[in-house]
Amino acid sequence: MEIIIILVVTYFTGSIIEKKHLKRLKKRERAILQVPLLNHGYQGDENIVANVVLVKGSSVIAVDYFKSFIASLRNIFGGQVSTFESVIDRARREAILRMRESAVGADEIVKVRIQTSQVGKRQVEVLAYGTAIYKNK
Amino acid sequence: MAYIPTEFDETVNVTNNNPLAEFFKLIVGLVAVLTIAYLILGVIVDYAADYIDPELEGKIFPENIAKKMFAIGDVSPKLLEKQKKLQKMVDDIPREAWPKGYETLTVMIIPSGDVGNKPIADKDKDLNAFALPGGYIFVTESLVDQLKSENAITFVLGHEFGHFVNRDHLRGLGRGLIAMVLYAVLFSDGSAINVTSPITTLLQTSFSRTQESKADIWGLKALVATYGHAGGANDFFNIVKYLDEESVLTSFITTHPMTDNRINDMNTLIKENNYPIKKTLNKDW
Repeated sequence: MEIIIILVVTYFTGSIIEKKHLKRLKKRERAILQVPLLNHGYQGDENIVANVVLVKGSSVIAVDYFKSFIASLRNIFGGQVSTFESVIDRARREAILRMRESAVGADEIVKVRIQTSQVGKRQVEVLAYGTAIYKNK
Repeated sequence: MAYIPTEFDETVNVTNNNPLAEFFKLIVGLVAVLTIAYLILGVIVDYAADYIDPELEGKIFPENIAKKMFAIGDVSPKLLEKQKKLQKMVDDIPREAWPKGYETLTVMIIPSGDVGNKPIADKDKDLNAFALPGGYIFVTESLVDQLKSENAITFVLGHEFGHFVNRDHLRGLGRGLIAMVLYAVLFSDGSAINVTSPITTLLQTSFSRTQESKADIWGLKALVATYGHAGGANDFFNIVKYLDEESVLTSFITTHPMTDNRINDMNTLIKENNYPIKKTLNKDW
């Protein structure tokens, strides 16, 4: 049956793509550690703030056929859909990373929020947005 | 308060398991669930079949629906003639040998693939007859042509009557439908559900050996009731033996009891009931 062939192929391609993406994420996260991300509003001195910018990062990730097949089986039996967990986590990390990368030179990013939505069949978009604070040097 | 940039574990939100192991676990579970469902429903269908009487059956399979389900297509006028003669033979069987509760039983011929005068060895070997819901009897053209006596044909028709009496035609249908429903449930994400049409599902259901043996008994009853003697009872089996390369091995696998067994059982019955055996009437069509 063709389904079995597609499942086998997408299992391998999916896991290769995922491993590569995870490696890239780790590398970029290491490089961007300098700027703190805060979930609450700015609590410092307003006088030393030079600039305030809305920054956002978004990423759209599609789920491969093998992962979604397992997910559809989960629809029958219930339980944690571990295959989707990895996909959404990667999308989330990517979105946050892009948000930070778009705020190069900022001192902090405050009021960070994360939003997830489905944009296509088996495609997830994660949007991370916040306010970048640039202080007087 | 100083901010100290730290790298921390990002894998907390991901379940650390092997997707392949999960896949096989789920698939095995699914197959087990479907198998159990099929078996249980099969038992229920068997039980229910005994309670669907011909009147209820007529309501479930009214003539227009049954005709649509079983429509074979255009039949040649020659075939139509044969069909009419077959129908008369069905109607000529005395009412005491009819399955109770059926007002009419309609017989239809399934045309065979090849045409013209070919030696017996080349002719389509598909000698078969089916009992279908709604009181329909389907007979292959090869069977009609190969049986040379009217008595033999009456026996076959009576055999199908026996299936109606034992409600066998409903059991096979129920299981076939369950298989179709389970298939649709499994592949409901877009795959074509109409892999098998109703008629092929029905025609592929074969009756079990006990069901066939029981139907044979009724066939003999119909034969004796129509002609007053049991001549021609084994004609069908003898033709099957002649045409079939039936080996011991294949008979073990198929659901039909070995033809020899059926012949022996038939002879035993004839002897037990002291049925006379006289000459059979030749069919000229």
